[in-house]
Amino acid sequence: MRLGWSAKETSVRIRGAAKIAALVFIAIYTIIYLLEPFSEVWNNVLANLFLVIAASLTATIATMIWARYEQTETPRRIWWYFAVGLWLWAAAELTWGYLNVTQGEVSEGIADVFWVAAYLFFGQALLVQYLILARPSKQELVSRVSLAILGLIVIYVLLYRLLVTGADEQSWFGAAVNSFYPVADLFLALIAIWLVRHFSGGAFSRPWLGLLAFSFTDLLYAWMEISGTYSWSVNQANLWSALFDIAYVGAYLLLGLGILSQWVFLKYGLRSPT
Amino acid sequence: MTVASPLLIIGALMPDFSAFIPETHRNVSSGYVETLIQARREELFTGLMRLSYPSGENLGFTFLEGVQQKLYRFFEDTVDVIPRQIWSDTLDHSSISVGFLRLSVEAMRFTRIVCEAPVVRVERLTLAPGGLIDTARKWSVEPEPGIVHVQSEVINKYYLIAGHSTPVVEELSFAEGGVRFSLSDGSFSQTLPQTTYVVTRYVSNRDHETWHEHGLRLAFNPFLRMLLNRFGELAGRALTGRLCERLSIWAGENGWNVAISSNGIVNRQYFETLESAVGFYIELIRRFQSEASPALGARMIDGIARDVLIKLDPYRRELLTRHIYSQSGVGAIIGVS
Repeated sequence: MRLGWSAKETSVRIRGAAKIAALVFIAIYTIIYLLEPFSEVWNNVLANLFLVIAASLTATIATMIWARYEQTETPRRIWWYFAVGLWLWAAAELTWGYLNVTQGEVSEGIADVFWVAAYLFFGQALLVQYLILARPSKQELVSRVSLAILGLIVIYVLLYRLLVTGADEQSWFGAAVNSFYPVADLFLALIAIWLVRHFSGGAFSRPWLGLLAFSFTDLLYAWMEISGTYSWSVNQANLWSALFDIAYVGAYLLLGLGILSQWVFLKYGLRSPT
Repeated sequence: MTVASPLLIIGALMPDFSAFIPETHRNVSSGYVETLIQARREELFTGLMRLSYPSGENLGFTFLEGVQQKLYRFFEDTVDVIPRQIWSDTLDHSSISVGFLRLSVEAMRFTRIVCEAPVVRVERLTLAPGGLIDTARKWSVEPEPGIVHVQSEVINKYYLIAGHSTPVVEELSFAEGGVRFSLSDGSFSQTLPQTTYVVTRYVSNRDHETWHEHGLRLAFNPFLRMLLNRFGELAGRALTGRLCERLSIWAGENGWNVAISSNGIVNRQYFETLESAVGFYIELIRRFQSEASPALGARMIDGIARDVLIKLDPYRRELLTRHIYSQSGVGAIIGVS
């Protein structure tokens, strides 16, 4: 059905509708999380389901961007890696949610395999984006990537040492996994800042703004986990863990809105008024 | 046979194209000339109209789609551009011979340079095609631009060699059927038949505005092509196609005869002055910035332009920077000059 809207109007309406839908989504999630209107099992199922839906929607929109580019185009490669990464996150959320509903507390395991693998794809996506943007020479590329990996390894090792020797001593596997997330989030956040700065003011900056928001939220979660703040808050039944969990869903939605913004621009942007 | 050292002629004039225009009307009145001009207006004629008087005075009118552009008076050593206000006085003669030469827009631009660019010196040589290849290559890298007239019993061609390693050589070929414009490169003489040619090179002054306009047009095309390619690398071909479409629509709506595609600009606009050409290029760049910025951001668009300018050779970079990027409101392109 043709609604008679111009491309610009359609673009504005889609983004407006998406923002409203995101607000409604987060409001319902907050109600379920804080007021627990259903039985404990159903509240848990719904809360996890919302997270899976948010992650899947984000991955779907990233896939839609991938599909908009022609096969030989370089941005298609970026969005393929990015979409695969997001689908791995969605798989991780689904796995974690299933385990949470069926087993209760979820320790580091299969879900983390998906989460960790996703970062490898994000890294690849960002590397391709970096190559298009900065066009470094082979020498520059090798030296910069080596330097970044070295820096990340140093931070990772320091965190790992801190976790295995700290007061709240963790198993080597738990420490290894939990040390990975803040380092990977920091890496994503730094790259996202660099990209936002480059694309500042343009529609192409919005996915990276979303990624920045997500990285910061996840970084915050990693800090809460490592410092024991999250467990303390859950035990105390105060608002800190609730605020974080809501912010985590919100971060997925922000990332989704950012990616949607680019998709809308690719589909409707720069069209002649009709 | 190749004559190594050219014969130098100082103070000469660019070739007189009007000499190639066949007279179609002899000894007509100024009133009838007006009728002929009116007929050209109605048929949207583009080309040259030659007016010859018994005194030996020659005038040339340029027409673009039926609109009279300029009136030139050809003297032995110079060409005057006659101000529009005194056109009617100048044409007020009783016995005028008239001829017309239909030209394309590209040939009209060529003609404008021939009529308006000054000649510093003239070199005359006799060359075989092999010798002409080497000589033309040498001329194409020299800083001075010029018009090269290649003549034999069957060939009568003019080449516009802009110098500064400009890869494009424009060619005007005079034959019985009229004038044909084509684009070539430094090896244009390879296609000439094996014979001996009288080659006359009219060396001009590169600081004249006609050469600036010509140089700017030739520099702008690769610049815009690289700009759009870079945009395409970041934003994809679909958006680039739409951007080109929007730029073309905008140019059409503003009366500019140009088409923009991802391969660059097809420029069929005849600019009367350097100022009008510069005005168009500035507006086009501003339009590109305003259309492309919502996708990639203003900062990125400025960065792309800066990178592309750096990739151009110093002469074309300087030309574009001086005429376009030094203008206010075009963008913060710094550190490229």
